[in-house]
Amino acid sequence: MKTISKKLGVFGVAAVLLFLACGVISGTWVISFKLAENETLTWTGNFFYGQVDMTDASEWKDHREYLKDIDLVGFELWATNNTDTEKTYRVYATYVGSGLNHLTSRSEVENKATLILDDIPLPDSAKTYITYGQSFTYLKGIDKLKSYVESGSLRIFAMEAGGADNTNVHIDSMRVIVTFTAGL
Amino acid sequence: MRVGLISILLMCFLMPSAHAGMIGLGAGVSGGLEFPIAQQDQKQGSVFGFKARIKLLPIIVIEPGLNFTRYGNPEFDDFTSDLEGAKVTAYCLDAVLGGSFGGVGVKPYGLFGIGYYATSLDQVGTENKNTGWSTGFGVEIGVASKVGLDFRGHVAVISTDGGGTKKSGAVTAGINFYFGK
Repeated sequence: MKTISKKLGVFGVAAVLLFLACGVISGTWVISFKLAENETLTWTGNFFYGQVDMTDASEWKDHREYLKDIDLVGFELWATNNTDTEKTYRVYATYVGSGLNHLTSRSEVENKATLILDDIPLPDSAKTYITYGQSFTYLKGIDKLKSYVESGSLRIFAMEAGGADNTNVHIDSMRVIVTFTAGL
Repeated sequence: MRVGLISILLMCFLMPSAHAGMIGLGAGVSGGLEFPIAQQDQKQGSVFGFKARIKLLPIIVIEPGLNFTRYGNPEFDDFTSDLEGAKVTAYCLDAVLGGSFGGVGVKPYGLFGIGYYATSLDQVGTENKNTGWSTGFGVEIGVASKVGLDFRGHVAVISTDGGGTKKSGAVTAGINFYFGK
Protein backbone atom coordinates (compact mmCIF):
# COMPACT_ATOMS: atom_id res chain seq x y z
CA MET A 1 0.00 0.00 0.00
CA LYS A 2 2.88 2.31 0.89
CA THR A 3 4.49 1.62 -2.47
CA ILE A 4 1.25 2.39 -4.27
CA SER A 5 0.85 5.66 -2.35
CA LYS A 6 4.39 6.66 -3.23
CA LYS A 7 3.79 5.91 -6.89
CA LEU A 8 0.54 7.82 -6.82
CA GLY A 9 2.43 10.78 -5.34
CA VAL A 10 5.02 10.68 -8.11
CA PHE A 11 2.20 10.31 -10.59
CA GLY A 12 0.49 13.37 -9.19
CA VAL A 13 3.62 15.53 -9.28
CA ALA A 14 4.32 14.45 -12.86
CA ALA A 15 0.74 15.29 -13.83
CA VAL A 16 0.97 18.76 -12.29
CA LEU A 17 4.28 19.45 -14.05
CA LEU A 18 2.84 18.30 -17.33
CA PHE A 19 -0.24 20.44 -16.72
CA LEU A 20 1.92 23.53 -16.27
CA ALA A 21 4.23 22.68 -19.14
CA CYS A 22 1.62 22.24 -21.82
CA GLY A 23 0.29 25.80 -22.00
CA VAL A 24 -3.02 24.95 -20.42
CA ILE A 25 -3.37 28.35 -18.82
CA SER A 26 -5.97 29.52 -21.28
CA GLY A 27 -9.66 30.23 -21.45
CA THR A 28 -12.54 31.01 -23.76
CA TRP A 29 -14.46 34.26 -23.53
CA VAL A 30 -17.59 35.58 -25.19
CA ILE A 31 -18.08 39.30 -25.80
CA SER A 32 -20.88 41.11 -27.58
CA PHE A 33 -21.51 44.53 -29.10
CA LYS A 34 -24.91 45.96 -29.95
CA LEU A 35 -25.40 48.33 -32.85
CA ALA A 36 -28.63 50.28 -32.52
CA GLU A 37 -30.21 52.33 -35.29
CA ASN A 38 -29.68 56.07 -34.85
CA GLU A 39 -26.91 55.40 -32.35
CA THR A 40 -24.22 53.18 -33.80
CA LEU A 41 -26.07 51.90 -36.88
CA THR A 42 -26.75 54.70 -39.30
CA TRP A 43 -28.39 55.07 -42.69
CA THR A 44 -25.94 56.45 -45.22
CA GLY A 45 -28.41 56.88 -48.04
CA ASN A 46 -27.46 53.56 -49.62
CA PHE A 47 -27.01 51.14 -46.75
CA PHE A 48 -26.88 50.86 -42.99
CA TYR A 49 -23.42 51.35 -41.58
CA GLY A 50 -21.97 50.59 -38.19
CA GLN A 51 -18.60 50.06 -36.57
CA VAL A 52 -17.61 47.66 -33.83
CA ASP A 53 -14.59 48.58 -31.77
CA MET A 54 -13.57 45.67 -29.62
CA THR A 55 -10.49 47.35 -28.23
CA ASP A 56 -12.46 48.98 -25.40
CA ALA A 57 -13.94 45.71 -24.16
CA SER A 58 -12.17 44.70 -20.97
CA GLU A 59 -12.08 40.98 -21.83
CA TRP A 60 -10.51 41.81 -25.17
CA LYS A 61 -8.01 44.28 -23.70
CA ASP A 62 -7.00 41.80 -21.02
CA HIS A 63 -6.46 38.90 -23.40
CA ARG A 64 -5.74 40.34 -26.85
CA GLU A 65 -2.00 39.91 -26.36
CA TYR A 66 -2.48 36.19 -25.71
CA LEU A 67 -5.11 35.55 -28.39
CA LYS A 68 -5.01 31.99 -29.72
CA ASP A 69 -8.09 31.72 -31.83
CA ILE A 70 -11.36 33.38 -32.80
CA ASP A 71 -13.71 30.47 -32.18
CA LEU A 72 -17.01 31.90 -33.38
CA VAL A 73 -18.49 35.10 -34.72
CA GLY A 74 -22.26 35.25 -34.68
CA PHE A 75 -24.98 37.88 -34.80
CA GLU A 76 -28.39 38.88 -33.61
CA LEU A 77 -30.39 41.02 -35.99
CA TRP A 78 -33.67 42.90 -35.63
CA ALA A 79 -35.34 44.22 -38.77
CA THR A 80 -38.66 45.57 -39.95
CA ASN A 81 -40.37 45.17 -43.31
CA ASN A 82 -43.42 47.37 -43.68
CA THR A 83 -43.98 46.54 -47.35
CA ASP A 84 -46.38 43.91 -48.64
CA THR A 85 -43.63 41.84 -50.25
CA GLU A 86 -40.88 39.73 -48.70
CA LYS A 87 -37.42 41.31 -48.81
CA THR A 88 -33.96 39.98 -48.24
CA TYR A 89 -31.03 41.65 -46.55
CA ARG A 90 -27.31 41.13 -46.86
CA VAL A 91 -24.58 42.18 -44.48
CA TYR A 92 -21.00 42.91 -45.52
CA ALA A 93 -17.90 43.68 -43.44
CA THR A 94 -14.43 45.12 -43.58
CA TYR A 95 -12.10 46.24 -40.80
CA VAL A 96 -10.66 49.61 -39.86
CA GLY A 97 -7.15 48.94 -41.14
CA SER A 98 -8.40 47.63 -44.47
CA GLY A 99 -8.14 50.95 -46.30
CA LEU A 100 -11.83 50.55 -47.18
CA ASN A 101 -13.04 53.16 -44.77
CA HIS A 102 -14.96 55.31 -47.17
CA LEU A 103 -17.18 52.96 -49.11
CA THR A 104 -20.10 55.05 -50.25
CA SER A 105 -21.91 53.20 -53.00
CA ARG A 106 -23.67 49.88 -52.91
CA SER A 107 -21.48 48.53 -55.69
CA GLU A 108 -18.33 49.48 -53.79
CA VAL A 109 -19.55 47.57 -50.76
CA GLU A 110 -20.60 44.57 -52.86
CA ASN A 111 -17.28 44.46 -54.69
CA LYS A 112 -14.80 45.39 -51.97
CA ALA A 113 -16.25 44.30 -48.65
CA THR A 114 -16.83 40.69 -47.59
CA LEU A 115 -20.33 39.23 -47.61
CA ILE A 116 -20.86 37.82 -44.11
CA LEU A 117 -24.64 37.30 -43.85
CA ASP A 118 -26.39 36.29 -47.04
CA ASP A 119 -30.05 36.48 -47.97
CA ILE A 120 -31.63 37.07 -44.59
CA PRO A 121 -35.37 36.82 -45.23
CA LEU A 122 -37.58 39.67 -44.02
CA PRO A 123 -41.23 38.56 -44.32
CA ASP A 124 -43.69 41.17 -45.50
CA SER A 125 -45.46 43.43 -43.01
CA ALA A 126 -43.54 42.05 -40.07
CA LYS A 127 -40.71 42.51 -37.67
CA THR A 128 -37.97 39.89 -37.92
CA TYR A 129 -35.59 38.69 -35.24
CA ILE A 130 -32.67 36.53 -36.28
CA THR A 131 -31.32 34.74 -33.22
CA TYR A 132 -27.67 34.10 -32.49
CA GLY A 133 -28.09 30.42 -33.33
CA GLN A 134 -30.01 31.16 -36.53
CA SER A 135 -27.36 33.61 -37.72
CA PHE A 136 -24.97 30.75 -38.46
CA THR A 137 -27.41 29.58 -41.14
CA TYR A 138 -26.72 32.76 -43.11
CA LEU A 139 -23.03 33.15 -42.26
CA LYS A 140 -20.54 33.45 -45.14
CA GLY A 141 -16.87 34.38 -45.48
CA ILE A 142 -16.15 33.13 -41.99
CA ASP A 143 -12.35 32.97 -42.36
CA LYS A 144 -12.14 36.59 -43.50
CA LEU A 145 -14.62 37.63 -40.85
CA LYS A 146 -12.49 36.01 -38.15
CA SER A 147 -9.39 37.78 -39.44
CA TYR A 148 -11.26 41.11 -39.33
CA VAL A 149 -12.35 40.44 -35.77
CA GLU A 150 -8.79 39.51 -34.85
CA SER A 151 -7.78 43.04 -35.87
CA GLY A 152 -10.06 44.36 -33.11
CA SER A 153 -12.58 46.21 -35.25
CA LEU A 154 -15.36 45.61 -37.73
CA ARG A 155 -17.07 47.87 -40.20
CA ILE A 156 -20.59 46.60 -40.93
CA PHE A 157 -22.62 47.37 -44.05
CA ALA A 158 -26.21 46.10 -44.24
CA MET A 159 -28.32 46.52 -47.36
CA GLU A 160 -31.53 45.31 -48.88
CA ALA A 161 -30.93 43.00 -51.81
CA GLY A 162 -32.03 44.90 -54.91
CA GLY A 163 -33.26 47.99 -53.13
CA ALA A 164 -32.29 50.92 -50.96
CA ASP A 165 -35.44 51.78 -49.06
CA ASN A 166 -34.82 52.56 -45.42
CA THR A 167 -38.28 53.97 -44.79
CA ASN A 168 -40.24 50.77 -45.10
CA VAL A 169 -37.48 48.20 -44.81
CA HIS A 170 -34.84 48.76 -42.20
CA ILE A 171 -32.46 47.18 -39.75
CA ASP A 172 -33.48 48.13 -36.22
CA SER A 173 -30.34 46.85 -34.59
CA MET A 174 -27.64 44.21 -34.73
CA ARG A 175 -25.47 42.51 -32.18
CA VAL A 176 -22.06 41.06 -32.93
CA ILE A 177 -21.05 38.16 -30.67
CA VAL A 178 -17.43 37.04 -30.59
CA THR A 179 -16.11 33.91 -28.91
CA PHE A 180 -12.34 33.74 -28.58
CA THR A 181 -9.68 31.64 -26.89
CA ALA A 182 -6.61 33.19 -25.32
CA GLY A 183 -3.86 31.93 -23.08
CA LEU A 184 -0.20 31.53 -22.39
CA MET B 1 -8.17 4.90 -39.04
CA ARG B 2 -7.05 6.05 -35.61
CA VAL B 3 -9.12 3.44 -33.84
CA GLY B 4 -7.53 0.82 -36.07
CA LEU B 5 -4.04 2.09 -35.34
CA ILE B 6 -4.69 2.07 -31.62
CA SER B 7 -6.04 -1.48 -31.88
CA ILE B 8 -2.92 -2.67 -33.70
CA LEU B 9 -0.64 -0.98 -31.17
CA LEU B 10 -2.58 -2.54 -28.33
CA MET B 11 -2.37 -5.98 -29.93
CA CYS B 12 1.40 -5.66 -30.36
CA PHE B 13 1.70 -4.51 -26.80
CA LEU B 14 -0.47 -7.24 -25.39
CA MET B 15 0.64 -10.26 -27.40
CA PRO B 16 3.60 -11.29 -25.25
CA SER B 17 1.60 -11.02 -22.06
CA ALA B 18 -1.34 -12.82 -23.58
CA HIS B 19 0.85 -15.79 -24.40
CA ALA B 20 2.16 -15.79 -20.88
CA GLY B 21 -1.38 -15.76 -19.50
CA MET B 22 -0.75 -12.57 -17.56
CA ILE B 23 -3.58 -10.43 -18.93
CA GLY B 24 -6.86 -9.78 -17.21
CA LEU B 25 -9.81 -8.36 -19.07
CA GLY B 26 -12.75 -6.31 -17.97
CA ALA B 27 -15.25 -3.79 -19.19
CA GLY B 28 -17.13 -0.91 -17.68
CA VAL B 29 -19.75 1.74 -18.25
CA SER B 30 -19.99 5.08 -16.52
CA GLY B 31 -21.92 8.31 -16.51
CA GLY B 32 -21.75 11.61 -14.75
CA LEU B 33 -21.35 15.34 -15.00
CA GLU B 34 -18.94 17.33 -17.16
CA PHE B 35 -17.86 20.81 -16.09
CA PRO B 36 -16.26 23.23 -18.54
CA ILE B 37 -13.25 24.98 -17.05
CA ALA B 38 -12.65 28.60 -18.11
CA GLN B 39 -15.03 28.22 -21.06
CA GLN B 40 -17.70 30.92 -21.12
CA ASP B 41 -19.18 29.36 -24.23
CA GLN B 42 -20.15 26.10 -22.54
CA LYS B 43 -22.18 25.11 -19.53
CA GLN B 44 -22.24 22.09 -17.26
CA GLY B 45 -23.33 18.99 -19.10
CA SER B 46 -23.37 15.24 -18.96
CA VAL B 47 -20.98 12.49 -19.98
CA PHE B 48 -21.52 8.84 -20.73
CA GLY B 49 -18.93 6.31 -21.71
CA PHE B 50 -17.76 2.76 -21.83
CA LYS B 51 -14.37 1.20 -21.69
CA ALA B 52 -12.38 -1.99 -21.76
CA ARG B 53 -10.00 -2.71 -18.91
CA ILE B 54 -6.79 -4.60 -19.61
CA LYS B 55 -4.55 -5.54 -16.75
CA LEU B 56 -0.93 -5.57 -17.81
CA LEU B 57 0.92 -5.55 -14.51
CA PRO B 58 -0.26 -5.97 -10.92
CA ILE B 59 -0.82 -2.23 -10.48
CA ILE B 60 -1.27 -0.97 -14.04
CA VAL B 61 -4.49 -1.25 -16.01
CA ILE B 62 -4.88 0.09 -19.54
CA GLU B 63 -8.29 1.46 -20.47
CA PRO B 64 -9.25 2.12 -24.08
CA GLY B 65 -12.55 3.93 -23.92
CA LEU B 66 -15.16 5.94 -25.72
CA ASN B 67 -16.92 8.86 -24.02
CA PHE B 68 -19.74 11.10 -25.16
CA THR B 69 -20.12 14.55 -23.62
CA ARG B 70 -22.98 16.94 -24.18
CA TYR B 71 -22.44 20.36 -22.66
CA GLY B 72 -25.38 22.41 -21.48
CA ASN B 73 -26.59 25.39 -23.48
CA PRO B 74 -24.55 28.48 -22.60
CA GLU B 75 -26.23 31.49 -21.00
CA PHE B 76 -25.01 35.08 -21.06
CA ASP B 77 -25.89 38.17 -19.09
CA ASP B 78 -25.94 40.68 -21.94
CA PHE B 79 -27.76 38.76 -24.65
CA THR B 80 -30.04 35.81 -25.20
CA SER B 81 -28.33 32.80 -26.67
CA ASP B 82 -30.12 29.95 -28.35
CA LEU B 83 -26.87 28.20 -29.23
CA GLU B 84 -26.70 24.62 -28.00
CA GLY B 85 -23.75 23.32 -26.04
CA ALA B 86 -21.01 21.44 -27.82
CA LYS B 87 -20.93 17.68 -28.22
CA VAL B 88 -17.61 15.96 -27.64
CA THR B 89 -16.81 12.41 -28.66
CA ALA B 90 -13.60 11.27 -26.98
CA TYR B 91 -11.53 8.24 -27.95
CA CYS B 92 -9.35 7.70 -24.91
CA LEU B 93 -6.48 5.49 -23.84
CA ASP B 94 -5.90 5.73 -20.10
CA ALA B 95 -3.30 4.16 -17.83
CA VAL B 96 -4.67 3.45 -14.39
CA LEU B 97 -2.18 3.08 -11.56
CA GLY B 98 -3.44 1.30 -8.49
CA GLY B 99 -7.05 0.36 -7.94
CA SER B 100 -8.36 -3.14 -8.13
CA PHE B 101 -9.09 -5.64 -10.81
CA GLY B 102 -11.84 -7.65 -9.31
CA GLY B 103 -12.11 -8.74 -5.72
CA VAL B 104 -13.90 -7.19 -2.80
CA GLY B 105 -12.56 -4.04 -1.16
CA VAL B 106 -11.93 -0.33 -1.57
CA LYS B 107 -8.96 0.68 -3.68
CA PRO B 108 -7.93 4.16 -4.81
CA TYR B 109 -6.14 4.82 -8.06
CA GLY B 110 -4.66 7.55 -10.21
CA LEU B 111 -4.92 7.79 -13.96
CA PHE B 112 -3.32 9.47 -16.90
CA GLY B 113 -4.49 9.25 -20.46
CA ILE B 114 -4.30 10.55 -23.96
CA GLY B 115 -7.21 11.04 -26.28
CA TYR B 116 -8.57 12.08 -29.62
CA TYR B 117 -11.49 14.47 -29.31
CA ALA B 118 -14.11 15.42 -31.88
CA THR B 119 -15.98 18.55 -30.78
CA SER B 120 -19.03 19.53 -32.78
CA LEU B 121 -21.49 22.41 -32.81
CA ASP B 122 -24.43 21.28 -34.92
CA GLN B 123 -26.00 24.73 -35.37
CA VAL B 124 -22.73 26.22 -36.51
CA GLY B 125 -21.91 23.21 -38.65
CA THR B 126 -18.39 22.75 -37.32
CA GLU B 127 -16.49 19.74 -36.05
CA ASN B 128 -12.99 20.21 -34.65
CA LYS B 129 -10.79 17.18 -34.16
CA ASN B 130 -7.88 17.51 -31.76
CA THR B 131 -5.69 15.52 -29.43
CA GLY B 132 -5.53 15.96 -25.70
CA TRP B 133 -4.69 14.38 -22.40
CA SER B 134 -6.37 13.79 -19.10
CA THR B 135 -5.46 13.03 -15.53
CA GLY B 136 -7.40 12.26 -12.41
CA PHE B 137 -8.05 9.88 -9.60
CA GLY B 138 -10.76 7.61 -8.37
CA VAL B 139 -11.71 4.75 -6.19
CA GLU B 140 -13.05 1.35 -7.10
CA ILE B 141 -15.19 -0.50 -4.61
CA GLY B 142 -15.25 -4.19 -5.29
CA VAL B 143 -18.68 -5.49 -4.34
CA ALA B 144 -18.07 -9.00 -5.69
CA SER B 145 -15.13 -10.89 -7.07
CA LYS B 146 -15.92 -9.77 -10.61
CA VAL B 147 -17.88 -6.58 -10.10
CA GLY B 148 -16.66 -3.19 -8.92
CA LEU B 149 -18.27 0.20 -8.48
CA ASP B 150 -16.08 2.89 -9.95
CA PHE B 151 -16.09 6.55 -8.86
CA ARG B 152 -13.68 8.94 -10.50
CA GLY B 153 -12.86 12.55 -11.14
CA HIS B 154 -10.66 13.71 -13.94
CA VAL B 155 -9.57 16.77 -15.87
CA ALA B 156 -9.22 16.72 -19.66
CA VAL B 157 -7.13 19.20 -21.63
CA ILE B 158 -7.88 19.35 -25.36
CA SER B 159 -5.61 21.25 -27.70
CA THR B 160 -7.19 23.69 -30.16
CA ASP B 161 -6.19 24.69 -33.67
CA GLY B 162 -4.90 28.08 -32.58
CA GLY B 163 -2.57 26.70 -29.92
CA GLY B 164 -4.84 27.12 -26.92
CA THR B 165 -6.66 24.47 -24.98
CA LYS B 166 -10.17 23.62 -23.87
CA LYS B 167 -10.38 22.16 -20.41
CA SER B 168 -13.07 20.34 -18.52
CA GLY B 169 -13.52 18.36 -15.36
CA ALA B 170 -15.77 15.37 -14.91
CA VAL B 171 -17.09 13.33 -12.05
CA THR B 172 -18.48 9.95 -12.96
CA ALA B 173 -19.84 6.82 -11.39
CA GLY B 174 -19.79 3.49 -13.11
CA ILE B 175 -19.65 -0.23 -12.85
CA ASN B 176 -16.88 -2.55 -13.96
CA PHE B 177 -17.10 -6.21 -14.79
CA TYR B 178 -14.19 -8.64 -14.96
CA PHE B 179 -13.89 -11.75 -17.06
CA GLY B 180 -11.99 -14.97 -16.81
CA LYS B 181 -10.84 -16.72 -13.72
